Amino acid sequence: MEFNVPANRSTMSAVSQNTRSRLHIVDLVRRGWATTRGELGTMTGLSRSVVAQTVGEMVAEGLLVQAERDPIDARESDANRLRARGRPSAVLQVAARPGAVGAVELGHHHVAIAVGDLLSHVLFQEEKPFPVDTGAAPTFELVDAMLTSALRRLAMSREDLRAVTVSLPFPVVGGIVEPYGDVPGWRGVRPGDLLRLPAGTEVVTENDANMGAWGEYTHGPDHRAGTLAYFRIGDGLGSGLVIGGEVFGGAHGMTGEIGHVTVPGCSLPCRCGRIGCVDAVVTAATSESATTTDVHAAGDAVGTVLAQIASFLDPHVIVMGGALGVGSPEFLAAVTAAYHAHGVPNGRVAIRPARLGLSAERRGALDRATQVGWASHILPGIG
Amino acid sequence: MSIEDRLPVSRATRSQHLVLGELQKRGQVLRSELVAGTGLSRSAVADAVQALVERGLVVEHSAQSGSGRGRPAMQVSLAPNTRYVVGIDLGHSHVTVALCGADGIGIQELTEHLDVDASPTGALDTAARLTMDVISRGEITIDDVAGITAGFPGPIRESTHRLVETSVLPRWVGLDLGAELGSRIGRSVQIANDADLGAMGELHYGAARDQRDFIYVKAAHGVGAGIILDRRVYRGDGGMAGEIGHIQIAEREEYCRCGGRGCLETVVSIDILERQIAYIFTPAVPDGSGLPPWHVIRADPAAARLLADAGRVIGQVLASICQVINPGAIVLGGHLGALGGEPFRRGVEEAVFRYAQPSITAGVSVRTAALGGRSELMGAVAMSLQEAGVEAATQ
Repeated sequence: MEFNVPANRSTMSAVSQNTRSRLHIVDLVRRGWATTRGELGTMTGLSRSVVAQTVGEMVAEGLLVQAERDPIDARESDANRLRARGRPSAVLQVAARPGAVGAVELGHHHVAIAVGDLLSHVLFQEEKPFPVDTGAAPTFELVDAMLTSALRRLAMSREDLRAVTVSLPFPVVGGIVEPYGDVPGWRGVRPGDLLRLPAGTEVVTENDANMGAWGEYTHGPDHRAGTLAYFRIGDGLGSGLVIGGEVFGGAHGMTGEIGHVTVPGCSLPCRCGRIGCVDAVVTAATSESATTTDVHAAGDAVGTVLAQIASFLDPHVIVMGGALGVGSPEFLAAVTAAYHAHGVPNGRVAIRPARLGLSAERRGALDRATQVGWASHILPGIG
Repeated sequence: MSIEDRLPVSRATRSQHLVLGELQKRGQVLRSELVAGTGLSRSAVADAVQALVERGLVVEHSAQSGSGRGRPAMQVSLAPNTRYVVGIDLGHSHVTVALCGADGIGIQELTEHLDVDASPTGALDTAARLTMDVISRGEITIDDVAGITAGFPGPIRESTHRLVETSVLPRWVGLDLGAELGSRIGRSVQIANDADLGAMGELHYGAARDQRDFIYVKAAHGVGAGIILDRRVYRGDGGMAGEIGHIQIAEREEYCRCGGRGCLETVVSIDILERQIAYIFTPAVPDGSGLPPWHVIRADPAAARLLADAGRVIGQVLASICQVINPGAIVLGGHLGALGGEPFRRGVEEAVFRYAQPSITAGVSVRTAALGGRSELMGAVAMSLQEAGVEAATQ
């Protein structure tokens, strides 16, 4: 079975308002963004009474637990105590629920897996170099072996996995891989079919830049952003957008293909079959024989593209991930210079490197699986 | 930025929309029935009804109850005046005001030409006067109008109702546009960016009625975009989304009023095209005066080439944007969209298809706006209807 929750507006419209509120509340509480009823009201826009009623039901059903505020916290200062009149607000946490979730995170040259619990803890993670572009079948052989050994080490079985996210370095439309250019081993693949998982496990398939965006949104300082734009730079270039708390999918699910924007005057061949794509410039800068000039050329090209996107979307923040985005000061300097030279003069939109570094995609994929894992506890008729 | 800014609409606004929707479905109801019907708390319903009564959209009267004990229950219904709205479109050189019915069909429309950029006071006075004129010509009163929306040719910061502090339109920066118009008209006026309204107009009444995610391009004296995602206007975190006029075009050196070089709007605008086209038709007068009508211009191969070139410049910028947000359509509006017609549209399409990936462009349809220069005005009407709780009819 495959379904897309909760970052998908079309399927979510079929779910009741109450269920949607519950999923939203679990997400906010487990990430620590809101731990009191008052904060939940502010963050969800629900009325005080609806929050009180929903939280009450969720506590009664064992989805949330509440603790009185830690006496030491409550005593913080006399001034605070005098100001905060009335009953201290109860602090909410998500309850420990059975089951685990998994992330399979693939790059062009590596395979990684992670296993977490429903409280958003990472229990295990591992990464191995692998030529992923050679095809889905050999890649998933390795995934299968890594997953088996991870679960054995955690004394778990595949039945424990409530949901698994597969994050791929290719465009994904409706759960099907649709790579650019000549990657025959992946075209038309449904990764959910290649994972040997029990029928009850939900599988979510996503593009890696979308998951990087989701990782930085859910783990970084910008969860109040209306729009967060993430660029995965290194081993190609991809982009992901989080808009209004959801991964944005566009009219046909092909967002974030910024790598195949043409760089004026560039004649490098790109893996997509054209010449002069910014993806090719970035790939050249990450190759083993790359020179400083290559890195500067990539920074210049990427900074110019970022300036265009900033003008168009006016995001709260632009986050740079990937090996070049987080690891190269020369690259960052070149990007910043080009961004300011080409940007709108008020230059308001900040650029920052990914807080999670190279694990943004993995953590985003794991959070996504955790969302879906919780949905199996909350949606009527599932789990 | 507070969390309230990030929510699509404020909690209070959402409550009001829920109450209005319920009243449209059920006519006259008790407050307690509104609580049951909307799922809002009693106090939220009370606040929403109070606000709607103050806005003149809802009326309350006490119901006679049999028992007579306690406070009489209040019946709530829609005010009879939700049948008319006003839309105001301020361009760089014109002010147009339309009075429409709830179906979006125009009743009265007036236009005056003046230098809007240079004279904010004159433009605001004109907009207010034309508003009163359409209302009196429509033989109604201001109290019969459920909502007024005005579009301005600059980016607007929603939280302050002012233009974003940019170097363009310097005489307008700092004015509270909603308050300025509101005090002149005597009613609260909603304000919006013109390209956003153009997108709304095409979404509800024009070429994008079948679309959920699309980009509207207003190409006239400047170039701006209105972005619709999930059938709602997307403005970005600072209200500057869609300001594509200052994206730099590779290898162009023209000086721009923003301090940059080679900005899109220094390469493509209706004024630049008129000057270029003048070389073809009236080589002696290269200032755009005395040009033939646009249907003649479009049919001339040399002029059509200039229009297509302009389209290709915009199209290359749009190609990058398509790669990132994968829209369903690009709708070309403004003077250039309307007057440039098919040659201009084809130029945009060629560049989008050349510079974006086939898998992206397969889903993007490049269209000319259907409302022919009235997209912004009709968007203002649609926004007024939405604000009044009447979902703009998609005809």
